[in-house]
Amino acid sequence: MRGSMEPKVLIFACDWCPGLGSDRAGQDRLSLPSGFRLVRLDCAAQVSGEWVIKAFSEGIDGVMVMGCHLDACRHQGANHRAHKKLETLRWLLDGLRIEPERLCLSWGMGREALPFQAEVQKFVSTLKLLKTGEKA
Amino acid sequence: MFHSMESAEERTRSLGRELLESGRITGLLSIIADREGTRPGFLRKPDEVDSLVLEPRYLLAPVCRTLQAMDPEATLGIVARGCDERALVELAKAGQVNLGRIVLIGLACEEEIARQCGCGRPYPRKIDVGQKIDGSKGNVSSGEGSGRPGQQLDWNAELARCLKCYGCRNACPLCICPECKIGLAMWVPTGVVPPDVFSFHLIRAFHLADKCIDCGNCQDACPAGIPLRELHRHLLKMLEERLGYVPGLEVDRQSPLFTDLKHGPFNGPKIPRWMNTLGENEL
Repeated sequence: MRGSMEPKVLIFACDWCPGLGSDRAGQDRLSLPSGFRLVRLDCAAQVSGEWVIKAFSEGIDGVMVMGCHLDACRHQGANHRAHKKLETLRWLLDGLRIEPERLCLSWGMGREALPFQAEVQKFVSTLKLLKTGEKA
Repeated sequence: MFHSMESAEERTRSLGRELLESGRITGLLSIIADREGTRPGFLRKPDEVDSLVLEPRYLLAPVCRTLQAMDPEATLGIVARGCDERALVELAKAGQVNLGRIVLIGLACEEEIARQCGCGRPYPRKIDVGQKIDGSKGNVSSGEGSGRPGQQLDWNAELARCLKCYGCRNACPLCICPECKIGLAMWVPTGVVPPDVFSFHLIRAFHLADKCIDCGNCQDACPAGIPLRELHRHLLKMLEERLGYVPGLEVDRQSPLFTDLKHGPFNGPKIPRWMNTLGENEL
């Protein structure tokens, strides 16, 4: 990752759906952006605001939080709460003139490699656009 | 009705005296003025009530919490302005005070105080003393109607003045965590002034997102004059617009950040159809 021009992306993925999807993407040798690191968690609701804030303060360009479909959480709708919580954080980032697009919430990468690849690629291209926008 | 300061004070004193004489309360918490100065005080006897004053405005809710922790069995009377009451409600939701052992004397703020505070709700739910006046709608230093806090503020410059004195945290009636994350080296790098904007200010603001009662104590305490209240009002705006929730008003309603999307309104950005398997009507 060091020295490359690819945006640095940190992905928090719930173990149940996107975790499996990411595994499958790797097994299928799908082409993925090189600048991302993925952390697998028991549930996306584990991601607290501080983690995201800390990641940004350490120089990460973008953070993705991936969880299950909205009605498919294994932990009594914890992803609903995660969604509300992180939307609040996005709103706060926007208030401080930090692009909220840098925090991406995605629910429902259910065991599928291709949607996982598409979502990560889309996010990375958004980040690249933000970067060029800053320079211009 | 009582319009002048004198009579509002007299009325509060007589209400306090009645409560103390009837034995309903162990003591009355209020601002007192005597030879030693003006300060928060705890009045135990009816004849001590004469030292009670109403000004200056000082948030008594944190004192109430401390007193209740010292003696959980006592029933406390408290002269509560709108902000006091809202702080107590939020503290009760966090399990920090027992509202069943608190008797409020509701005090609606005078127009001048309300204007100085830029308060949106300068009155408690039940008013015993004073008259209800409408709060100001706008923000403290304008930014009215804009989507962002203080549209004209340069946050990088504002936050660069921070001295990391923790005054905002210490003054906040709702910063109650025994171990504060912005004091831990793991979350906020130590030995750096001004502190890292991301970790220090964002973590603090985010932690209070669904609790802030807009009392303005953080901003008043800031020696660098950072308009912290704008930041909190920005978050409160989101809570009200998107989730229909105002902290400190309803004792029984949990913060919407702890409930499912199906409970209560959610007017956030649309969740794409393919992620949302709840059915069309439910979000």
